[in-house]
Amino acid sequence: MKVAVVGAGRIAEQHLRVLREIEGLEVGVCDRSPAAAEFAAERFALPRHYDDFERLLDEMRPDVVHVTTPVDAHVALASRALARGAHVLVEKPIAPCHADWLTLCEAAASAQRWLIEDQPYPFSPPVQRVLRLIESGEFGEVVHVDAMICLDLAAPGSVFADVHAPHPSHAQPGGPISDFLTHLASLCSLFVGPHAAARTLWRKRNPQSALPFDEMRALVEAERGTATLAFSASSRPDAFAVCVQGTRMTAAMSLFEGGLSLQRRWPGNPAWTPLANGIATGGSHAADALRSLHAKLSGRPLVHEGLRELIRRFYSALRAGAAPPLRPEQIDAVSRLMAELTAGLAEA
Amino acid sequence: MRVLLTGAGGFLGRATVRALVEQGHSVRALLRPAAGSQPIPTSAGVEIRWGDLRSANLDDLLADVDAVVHLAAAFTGDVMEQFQKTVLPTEALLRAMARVGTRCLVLVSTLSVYDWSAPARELTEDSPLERRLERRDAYTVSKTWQERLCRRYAQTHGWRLCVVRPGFIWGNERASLDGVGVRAGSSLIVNGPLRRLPLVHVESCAECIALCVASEAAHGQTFNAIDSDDTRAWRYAGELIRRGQSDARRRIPLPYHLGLGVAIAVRALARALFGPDVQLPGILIPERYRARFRALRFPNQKAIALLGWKPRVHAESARRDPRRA
Repeated sequence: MKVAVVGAGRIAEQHLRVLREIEGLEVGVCDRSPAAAEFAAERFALPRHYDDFERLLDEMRPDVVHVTTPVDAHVALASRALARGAHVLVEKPIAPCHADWLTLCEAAASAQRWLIEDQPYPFSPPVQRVLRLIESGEFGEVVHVDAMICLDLAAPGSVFADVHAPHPSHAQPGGPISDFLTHLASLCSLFVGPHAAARTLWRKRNPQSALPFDEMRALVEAERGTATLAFSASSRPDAFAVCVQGTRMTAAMSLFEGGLSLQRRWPGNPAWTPLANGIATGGSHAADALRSLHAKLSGRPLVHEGLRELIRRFYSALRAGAAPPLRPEQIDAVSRLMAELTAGLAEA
Repeated sequence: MRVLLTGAGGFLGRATVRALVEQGHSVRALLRPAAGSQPIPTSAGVEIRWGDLRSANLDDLLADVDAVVHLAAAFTGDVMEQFQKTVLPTEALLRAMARVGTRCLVLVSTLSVYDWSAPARELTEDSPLERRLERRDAYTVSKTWQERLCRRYAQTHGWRLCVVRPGFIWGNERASLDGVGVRAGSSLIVNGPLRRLPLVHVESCAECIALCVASEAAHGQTFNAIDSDDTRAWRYAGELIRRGQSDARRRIPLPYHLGLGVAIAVRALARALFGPDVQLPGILIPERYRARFRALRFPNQKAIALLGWKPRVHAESARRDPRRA
């Protein structure tokens, strides 16, 4: 199978690492910068690199194209790849706005090719474990999801705050925070279904910040429950904390570190439940910390495990001629929620 | 000549502005407003432009420019960050030079690009460059690619290219201990205390760079800019501590081979435990340890012979008499 990665920046590195692990792929890379394309090709021992996407399509005729460029180029590149008969995996967010997503979706349908978005966290090990508990009935029904990302986007040296080379996400409504909304929206949609309504609060807490907004809160009413979604550029330490509350259990996940702890009602005297949960949570945290340390030392940080799993499942599905791990309606639900979360910001 | 100087607001950049003016050039100095650039003294023959190679109008920047001295580079960040902040702006600059027709380039590189395990005794301009870049740090990777691109463009377009690789740059404003040892609390562990340091004073280095601009002999050449290798690591560290240029309070000697042995053993153990992609601090990666601390001689005859460069302030004598620095 021939695979092309378009855009040789930071996230392309992660795609190329995973592709290197999958057997039977011939991978090429393309970037507007010939040096960036060549650098990626040299680091990952790729036989082909290009600085012209059309030439890549002509010469390589890829079966799959990964679009890992800034978001403003997603629609044009993905449309072109679909028209040339390739399945396409696009980095998040899949399109600058919901209307563009619909255009892309139609292009994929008419080309009869698969189009998926990189929504990594639904495929991360802790989330997958919670999904299995839900499926088995052990978790009960999901009542509420609370997801919060804390990242200092305005820190010195941050690509999001570099005034000399403004990050492409500044052109999105909400600015750089929008780059992370896919993560929040995909987990909301996964656990409580498509949204029905949402109320949001966007703030600029630090007036000196180079970001248009540095805080976001949202309250979402969805098909099967509710969700609170938040982004904070001020809270420390960096974290992606997700709490899923069910009728029988509560799961607390730290997705940057791949951690998971469960709180449940234990059989017997309810008075023992807090102690039993405390001991179980302490054990989970210690095990998670060791696992996270081991993963970092091994050069395989757990933060990218979701992307690895998504890509592996995508290629397994393509080889089996089966449906990909993300269906268009799932991507649509995320895109609609993101549009709702940022509604009114573009005009503002 | 009218010279465009990138990275003019840095430690070496400010000295290079002065050296270029002293040698009769007019300077268009590019400074990044929010990157720690300090104001440079304005004087006749110096035109200041605030901006960044990634966002500036490069054609305008290069208008009426006869030569470019390219100093701008990133010093921190991981491999991808340094590549994006050093190599991509360099590529943009080279493309603009090709468009505008600027045909003379002086690139300021680094001794880091050499393969420090290769030379037997001396590191010279003819020593082989590092080929196993995956084992070296992000700075070496980005500077190697920067050199590679500059050479490629110069060859393709028939430009006059000169590459200057400075040693450890020091001056009264700043003196780095990175190549001397490793901080441990208030102590400085001096790795290989008896080894010679390839020191170059900032003014002397700037003079070498400025000489390359107009010198016909510099065409196609590479120069290691090193004042002398008379100074030993132990003495240099002690002097900096005494003069208050380091916040370390005491020195601890660590024989070079002992430190290297520890790095080799730790990496072998870590690989056995965590696999081949194990992540370790640079000091525990043998290739990086060698590149920082290996004992070699550093001859400087090539720059003296071809450029007529006279190292103005010898490190040893300047240390004895700080007023000269």
